[in-house]
Amino acid sequence: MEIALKLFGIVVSWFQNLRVFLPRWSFFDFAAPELVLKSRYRSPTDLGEWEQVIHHPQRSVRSLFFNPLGNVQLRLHTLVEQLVLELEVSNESALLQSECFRALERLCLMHFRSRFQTGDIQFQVSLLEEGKEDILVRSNWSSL
Amino acid sequence: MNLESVLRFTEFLLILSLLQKSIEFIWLETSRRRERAMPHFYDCFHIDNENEVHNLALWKRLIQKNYLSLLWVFVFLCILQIFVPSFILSFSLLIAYFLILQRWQGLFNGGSDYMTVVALVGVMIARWPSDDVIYEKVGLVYIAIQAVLSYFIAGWVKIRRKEWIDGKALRHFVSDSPFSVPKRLRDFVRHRPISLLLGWAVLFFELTFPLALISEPTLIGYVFFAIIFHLVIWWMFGLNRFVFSWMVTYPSLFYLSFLVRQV
Repeated sequence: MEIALKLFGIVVSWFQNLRVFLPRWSFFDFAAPELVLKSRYRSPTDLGEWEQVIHHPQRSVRSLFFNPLGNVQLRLHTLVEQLVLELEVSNESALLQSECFRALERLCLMHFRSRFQTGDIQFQVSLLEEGKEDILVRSNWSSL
Repeated sequence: MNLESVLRFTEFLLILSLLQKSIEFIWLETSRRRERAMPHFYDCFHIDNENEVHNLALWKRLIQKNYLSLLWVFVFLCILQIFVPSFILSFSLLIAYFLILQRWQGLFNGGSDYMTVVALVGVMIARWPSDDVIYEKVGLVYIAIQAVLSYFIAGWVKIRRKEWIDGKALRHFVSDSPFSVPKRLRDFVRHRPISLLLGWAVLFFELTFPLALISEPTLIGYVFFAIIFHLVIWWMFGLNRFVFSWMVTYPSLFYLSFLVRQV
């Protein structure tokens, strides 16, 4: 059984790797509520506010030809969307272990590491709808 | 219509599009390595935690370790393909592009990656080592059909949704978008009649795109609007790679239109 599950995992992973060969031509079709990735920190003396981690750079004519940062932010945004799709088919604890969530957690880790070099700091990641307070997914506290 | 010229022009546009992507990728990787201070750029796709690296498949570990070299090899292959186009080179480009995408967990820019792979596969078929021109025809027709499908399916999926019919969708994407939509554009689309009109214009353009093939002047018109359409999408959402990825397919559309008119 364990071997079958492992094999299944490998097949799924390869399918995900090969999906670029199976074009999907639907763009901006579903006007779903925008989801926002937020993170906050806590220290022994302080609890930070939830803050947005992904910021999209402003457009300029140059960005038509050269837009590396904008494209990374777009990739991060699709990672958030992917997480929402995964949320529909799996439970929260499985989601928190997913490759997709771990990448976003790493993003928040880097976000706070750039601010706090040392100290007893922990951070938490959440996913919520734009303009709403209800949190859809919330991770446990992790150390920097 | 000269088949070889269409193929060469398609290849030329494809290489330009690949070089544009490569320059962005190389800049990102060299910036990460130099730890250049960049606001809001955190490369969460680069795994440096020992335990996580250990859990990665060996081939993904190798890609991560040799990513910059892979990018330079890719650029070299692109330049070679301009001067000595061949099946082996286009196949190598396809494999290298697939490996580059693995660095970003499979896809970097969704649709633009799909279209780039479609073009690479088409060129690879066209460059099959044979004297028979059928491979060139099949390769170009494959790219053209995917281009037509890309517009038509995108329109078909939209027209089945209520929010596109009543004009709310465009307003939603522009107003609630996290992609820093320029304020002037946001204010313009906020008016209901405008969002309804523009929404239906998008639907009409996408759904009728297959009709563009019926004559050359019609196709010229559609391609002109397609370029404007992609430029507007770039201005709205910053999707610059889409402009170049779709441009690669336009010469093959003219070839498909030529074939359609001959039937």
